[in-house]
Amino acid sequence: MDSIENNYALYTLDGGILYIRYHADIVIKYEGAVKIVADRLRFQQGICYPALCDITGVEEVDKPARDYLASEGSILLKAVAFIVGNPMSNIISYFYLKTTKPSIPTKAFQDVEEAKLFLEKYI
Amino acid sequence: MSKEKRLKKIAEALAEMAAGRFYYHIEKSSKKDNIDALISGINMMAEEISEALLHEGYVNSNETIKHIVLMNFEIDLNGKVKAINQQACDILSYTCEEIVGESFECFLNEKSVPKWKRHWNKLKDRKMKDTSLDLTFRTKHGLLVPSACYINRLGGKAGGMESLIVTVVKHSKKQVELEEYLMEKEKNGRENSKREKPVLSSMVNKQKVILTSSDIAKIRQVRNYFIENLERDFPPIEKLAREFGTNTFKIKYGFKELYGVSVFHFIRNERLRKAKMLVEGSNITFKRITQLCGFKSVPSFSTTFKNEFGYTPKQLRRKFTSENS
Repeated sequence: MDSIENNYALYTLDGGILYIRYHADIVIKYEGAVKIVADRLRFQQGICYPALCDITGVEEVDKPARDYLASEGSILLKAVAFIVGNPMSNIISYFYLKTTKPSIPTKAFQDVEEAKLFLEKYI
Repeated sequence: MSKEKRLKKIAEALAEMAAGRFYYHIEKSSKKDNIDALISGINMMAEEISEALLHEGYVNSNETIKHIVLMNFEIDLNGKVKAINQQACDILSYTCEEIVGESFECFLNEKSVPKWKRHWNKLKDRKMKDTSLDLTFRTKHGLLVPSACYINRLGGKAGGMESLIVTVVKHSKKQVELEEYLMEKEKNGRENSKREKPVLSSMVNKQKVILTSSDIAKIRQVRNYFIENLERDFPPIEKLAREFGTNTFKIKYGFKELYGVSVFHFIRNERLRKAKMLVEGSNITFKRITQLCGFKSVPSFSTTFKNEFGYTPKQLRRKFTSENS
């Protein structure tokens, strides 16, 4: 199982799904958003995957970071399942889905198994 | 902080927003509960509305965006506020007397204080001249005002620092034009009323064609269609317009209004943007990137890429890899 880690998240590839788990209490600003996408792209080595993105550790995403993730965040991804659990991650995912209208299938889940089921169609 | 106090701050921020002031933020607690989530939502909403207002609903890059000064502080050698403009007092909800003579950092939030101190020391030690940094101000009622601050060092006779000017600027175009128009009108006076006519008529001539919300929704659909299908050869605009239930004029005009560029340039920019991400961040072959981004051939992709970014795809990938390895 391949994996890499930066200051923001742990990226793991398993069974054709890219798992991105953000660390606890993460505040994402523009520079962070660029790093998050750049590291992901390097890790994927040009291959497109469905991604399970656990954002329960994310505390805040500022406006420049949101704008960057809206335009570049889904590049080389087939579909995204957000894992949310607490009120903060709920509002962040809700806001993202409402304001950015992602170009790939994107949904938020409380349950990891349900999220995997959603992503399996895109493996 | 008690639940009542947190809710009071939310109410205050909402009242400010109702009055059209979207630059206030509400401070979150460390509880990460439902109230904090609501605060996050309100703060994000304020940012989105603030930006939408900047563009008057549309992006129109044909007009240069002008600036107005929002807050201005003069700071003395001890880090105390020497003078301040009235607008800054209004925004921070203090009187001028309450601010002048106080340390500048008293008006910043906890996170901004160490940041300010670091820059302040560098500026004092002449290690830094003019600079800019993001600071967050705190109003008398505890609301936050995140701001991009421009800091200028004012020198004295011996070359030493006399004081600092901290300026917070917000983007604007409509207000400035309106102020200029009113000033012009006042200057011309009643006796020159004839001369006002050309000014007014030119303003009327510049009026925008109104796009209805359904027109805007259709233009957004066309935009999404482009973004999701960059690898394809797109049909002529006439055909697209029919498919999306609109007309050629509305698509062409709407793209200029909403995205600030022509349809052709929009597609070209999006293709280049995607290509740059793939060149920098992946090891996908340039032939494949050419296909994925809808360029006709590798040489034409390479030429367009170099014209835009100053590097060929090969040069940029090499540069990016060496910088990040």
